[in-house]
Amino acid sequence: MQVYHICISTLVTMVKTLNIFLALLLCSALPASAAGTRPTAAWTYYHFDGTAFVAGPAVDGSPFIAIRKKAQPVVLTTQTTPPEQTTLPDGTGVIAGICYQQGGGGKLGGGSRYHVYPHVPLQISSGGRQFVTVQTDDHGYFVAVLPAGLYSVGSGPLTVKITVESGSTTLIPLRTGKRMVD
Amino acid sequence: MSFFLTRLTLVTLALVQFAATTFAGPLDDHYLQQFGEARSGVLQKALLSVSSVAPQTHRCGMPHKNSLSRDWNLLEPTTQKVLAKQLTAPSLSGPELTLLSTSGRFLIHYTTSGGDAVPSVTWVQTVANTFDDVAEEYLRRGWNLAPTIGGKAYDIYMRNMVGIVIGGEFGTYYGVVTAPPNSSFAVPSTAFPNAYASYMEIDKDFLNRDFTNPPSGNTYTPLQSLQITAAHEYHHAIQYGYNYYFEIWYAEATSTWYEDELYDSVNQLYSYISKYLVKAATYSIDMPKDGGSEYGRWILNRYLAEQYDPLIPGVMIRSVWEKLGGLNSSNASDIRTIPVLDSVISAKEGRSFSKDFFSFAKRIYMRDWTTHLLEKNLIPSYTTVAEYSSYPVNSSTIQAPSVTLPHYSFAYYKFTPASGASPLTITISKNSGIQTAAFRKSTIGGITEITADSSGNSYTDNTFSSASEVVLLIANTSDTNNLQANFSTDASTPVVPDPVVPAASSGGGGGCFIATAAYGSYLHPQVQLLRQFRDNQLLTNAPGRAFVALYYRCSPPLADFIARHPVLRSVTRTLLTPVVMAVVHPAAAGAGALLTVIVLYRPVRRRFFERGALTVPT
Repeated sequence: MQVYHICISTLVTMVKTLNIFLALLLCSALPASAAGTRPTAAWTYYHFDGTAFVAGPAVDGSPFIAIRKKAQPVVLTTQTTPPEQTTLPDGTGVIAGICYQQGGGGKLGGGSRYHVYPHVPLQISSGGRQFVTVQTDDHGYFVAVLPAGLYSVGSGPLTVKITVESGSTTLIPLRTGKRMVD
Repeated sequence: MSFFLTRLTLVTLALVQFAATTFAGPLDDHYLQQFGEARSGVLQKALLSVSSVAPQTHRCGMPHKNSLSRDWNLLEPTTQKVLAKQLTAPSLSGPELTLLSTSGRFLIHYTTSGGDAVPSVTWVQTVANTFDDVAEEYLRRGWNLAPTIGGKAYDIYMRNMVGIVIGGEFGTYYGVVTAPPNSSFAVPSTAFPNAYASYMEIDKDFLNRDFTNPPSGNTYTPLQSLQITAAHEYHHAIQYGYNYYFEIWYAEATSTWYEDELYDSVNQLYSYISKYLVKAATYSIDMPKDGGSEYGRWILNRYLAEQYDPLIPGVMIRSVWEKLGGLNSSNASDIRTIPVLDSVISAKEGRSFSKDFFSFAKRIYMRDWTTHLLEKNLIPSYTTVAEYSSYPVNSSTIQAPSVTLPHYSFAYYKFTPASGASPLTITISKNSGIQTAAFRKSTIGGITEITADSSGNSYTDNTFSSASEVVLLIANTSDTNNLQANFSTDASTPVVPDPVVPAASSGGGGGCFIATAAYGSYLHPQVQLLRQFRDNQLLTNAPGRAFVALYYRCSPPLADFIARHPVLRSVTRTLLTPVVMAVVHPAAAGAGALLTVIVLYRPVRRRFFERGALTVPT
């Protein structure tokens, strides 16, 4: 009888453990499932640091980009009001980023590491053919909503290949040139 | 009727074709002739058309370029390809004149009116001669000269570079080298598949005070400024010819180093070293351009040249560029130099870049340079992170005896004698990947390296009281970021937990393998977010580092499998979503998880226990 009680007790402990494990699993699966069907609640901010996009809004007041699952990204200059959301059409994703010229050197003044290009056309190709041309905004940022697939962005030696995922935004810092200053 | 229409269509098409060739041809020929491209072998038709036209020199470049821009869309594609570079080349303030250098290698573009006016044609000839000398010297040292389109002379534009805007920034510049990223400038070869042609702009006279009396405090003649600019900028042109995807820091380090190799008496380059040394503990040797420190990093090349090429300086450095020249870029990004350096150095028996970086860091203090001895005093002294003069030094000392170093960086700590502090024993605890050395300087300036004890982690100077100083060098000689070292003088050194992240994931270049596979791109924002979480949160504490180390051991094969199965990628993305959410909103995620557990616990419990699935005897 004593052995029976010990066995039952052990079994109960195991079930309780399984119980908690199941709860934790459900806890992580539910938001994952929800995220798969509707936009996530929050915007995430990124700014360009001269080489790459890094998390968070820019601290120096320069523009930054807000992205959100299943929504078109928005370029912002302040974080005071949440951006308005435009939902992405089904089966589309986004390539967004900044066009800049990489600069090297600057013996007498230090020189900046990059120079953004506002209002310039940017070619996006797919399968070796030009798919669409978008134009950068006042701050050199661009946003292109595209059907999911593989694209080439830019031209010449600085062309980058990007896979667009449905419902997602891929940020690219796009070099349009590389100049050695001094 | 049908037959008639077909004939009419054919005749119309023929007329259109005829009109196109009739009217487009002369326009193409006109511009090809004006820009000196008519003899291009690519354009046989154009060459035939203009054979009877007398050649003209480039008298007025700017109006021609404006017209070319206006008529661009009327030109044939082949003509556009040849003339594309003309639209990117600079325009001068007055009529453009040209002078071909004696060797025929350089075409100097200049003007005698407006803001870009040169002081004299004699000076233009001096410019041409200087570039000829520079090219000859690079050739003698085994370099390929800068490639040009169709093997023509290299274009150099003399213009005012004082108080102008380049790359959106107002300033004064010695020179600029541009390789426009379009196919007309690509000059690939088997050895250098990513070679690009370029053109150069330099100041018209180097007479401005910014050049003659720069902030470094020394003075330079216009000829000296021209000489180092020619040596420096032309090497950039050579670099584009080896591989467009070079890293800027090593390009500047190489160009600057050559200033002194070609014009030893000018010595401007020494004024840049301190900009690097003050950052040597916080920035990696290969960090991108940063406030001029990239120029100061030429001193690494001085070390490498002394180490490997004492007789003909630069063979090792040229080998690095040759190796780089054969490599391809990954998705248009620049190719990291350090692996290339390591590859070339490792060909020497028993050597590696890691070893050489440590020796280089030592030489900064030891000052045992073996070349340019008359200029040794121009090399600034080492820079300390902290200096101690009261003892013991331990974790309660204000200037913490602890350092976290990025990859390939180093820190110096100085100890000066104080009463009762002798002997001095420095005990170190450090991550693997960190190397240390200690030096004793006598009161008359002699420097000796202190031998470490058998553990390699303790240095003792028994005669510290009679020393001028003892200096501790801590160097991260690995490609892994955030390596740590602690030290003390009372043997109370806190132990540094061993890390860490494999080399492949360091240097800011590592990825979260599974996330990258799931999201399809290293650049995907969710991947970036997870990477930042790794660097900023996990790698700052021991449990986090252990987790990351485990993750990097286990994840690559799993990531590879996921990447090859689209369904698994979707599943993984879904599973990663709560992780990403938790990273973005840790507090909300924690609260949500707790709430969910509480809410779910009761129903689940009821299901198992209260429905009689399992009853617990009481």
